[in-house]
Amino acid sequence: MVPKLSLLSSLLPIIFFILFCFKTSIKGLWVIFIYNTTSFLFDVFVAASRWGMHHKLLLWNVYGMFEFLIIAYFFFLVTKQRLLRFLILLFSALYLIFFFLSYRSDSDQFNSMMSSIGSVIILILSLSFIITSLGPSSIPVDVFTPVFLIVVGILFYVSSTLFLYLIANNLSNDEMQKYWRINDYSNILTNVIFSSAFLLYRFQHKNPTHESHSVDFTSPNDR
Amino acid sequence: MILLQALNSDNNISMVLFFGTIGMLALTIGLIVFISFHQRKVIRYQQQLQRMEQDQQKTLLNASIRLQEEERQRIAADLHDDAGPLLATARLYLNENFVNLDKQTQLQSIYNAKQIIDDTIQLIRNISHSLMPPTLKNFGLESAVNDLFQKISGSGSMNASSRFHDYRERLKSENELIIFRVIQELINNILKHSNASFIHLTQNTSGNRFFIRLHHDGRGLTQADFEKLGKSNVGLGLKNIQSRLKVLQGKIFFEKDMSQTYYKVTIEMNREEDLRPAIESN
Repeated sequence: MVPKLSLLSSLLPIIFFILFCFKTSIKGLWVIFIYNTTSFLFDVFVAASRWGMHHKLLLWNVYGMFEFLIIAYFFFLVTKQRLLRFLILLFSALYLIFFFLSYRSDSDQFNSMMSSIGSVIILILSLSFIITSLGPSSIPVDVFTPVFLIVVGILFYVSSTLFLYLIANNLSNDEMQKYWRINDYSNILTNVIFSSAFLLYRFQHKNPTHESHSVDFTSPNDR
Repeated sequence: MILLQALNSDNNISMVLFFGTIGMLALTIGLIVFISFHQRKVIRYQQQLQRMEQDQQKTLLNASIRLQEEERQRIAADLHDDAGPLLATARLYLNENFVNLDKQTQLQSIYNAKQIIDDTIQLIRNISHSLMPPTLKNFGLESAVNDLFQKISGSGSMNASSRFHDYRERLKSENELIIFRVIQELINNILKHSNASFIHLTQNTSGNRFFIRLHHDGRGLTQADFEKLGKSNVGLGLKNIQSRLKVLQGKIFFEKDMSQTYYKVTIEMNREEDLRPAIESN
């Protein structure tokens, strides 16, 4: 029931994006839309195909890398600080190197180490983004923008699944089945937050008075 | 990882997972709650600042409007009470009966009317000079201020002197007028309230900054007094100074001398804007 709900919840941000943000020029939102779409298609593929079902763990490992890279790209787009952008590139490069070094195509185990490292990096990026957004400013900054909500969603996702990824290698198949629900619940929560972000985008762009008071953290170059 | 590898039992794994996930979620929720409160506080503080600034602007605008109205009333009163009767008297000398008068009386009437018209011209000139001092217009701020100080000194009630150290290039005429009005207002206040025996004005520049400093030995204001008066309903002249200096993006500081004997008033403004057209035209 929960995995199905998790799969269906992936549709929610996709629908919301198509309905409310399809004309947006904010690249960060487009990246999240692509992430949601690929995530949904991947989940459908794993659930529906026999091959996918059979190589589930291998696919999860590869998808974990894709997920890390796409979220890192999202942070790269929405971050203004040069240092942070440089760190994102550096971390992504290191992550890829480690991923390929530790990759074994015949492995039938979940790559706990790379998933955890990826989660920790994303967690650091989310926190850095929030801290730099709240930095000393002479103008009142409304942090509740679609981009900020998406970062909150990502933060919830990585913080709630970090421990699951950390101990995934120590779990038996039955335990994995049992505890993987944490991932499903996080997925549902994240999808709801992403959908709210797209709805907020619609709300802010429908009410120019609200827009004038808010500052989107997306770099002007990204628009 | 080592710690986790040491975990074998299902129960321990459940505990780590449970507390780890709950802990991380609690931290995240705590962070979000902190951000919302922090942001709300910052926005409230900024709104308060904005409101205060708006109130200040409103007070300055009101002061400026009131001053303008007072100035208009003064000019209207001068014209109505002085120029009006003078011109009416001149008209009396040149009334319809004028042609019936004998030559001697006619000449006398013309002479009287001419005298009255001369007086009226002088009166109107004075009014016009009070609106825009000709010395300021023709010779600049330095001459106008020197002229003003000479007049004060000449009255014998106070020793007044001024010295411009670095005024080779004139400021824009509208800016000169604003500074002159500010100096006039300050002098007026010193004459009215301070009971000083001397006033000394110096002008200087430092980089792009233009300074005017007034010293006097009477009872003066400190910055705290100035700010207090600026917020209250009294002190129309001081509010007027503030609003004039705002146009120049200038600042004014009231302080007591290091020796605690004299009061200092310093006007500071940026000269960059003023010099730019001159440099560009060169």
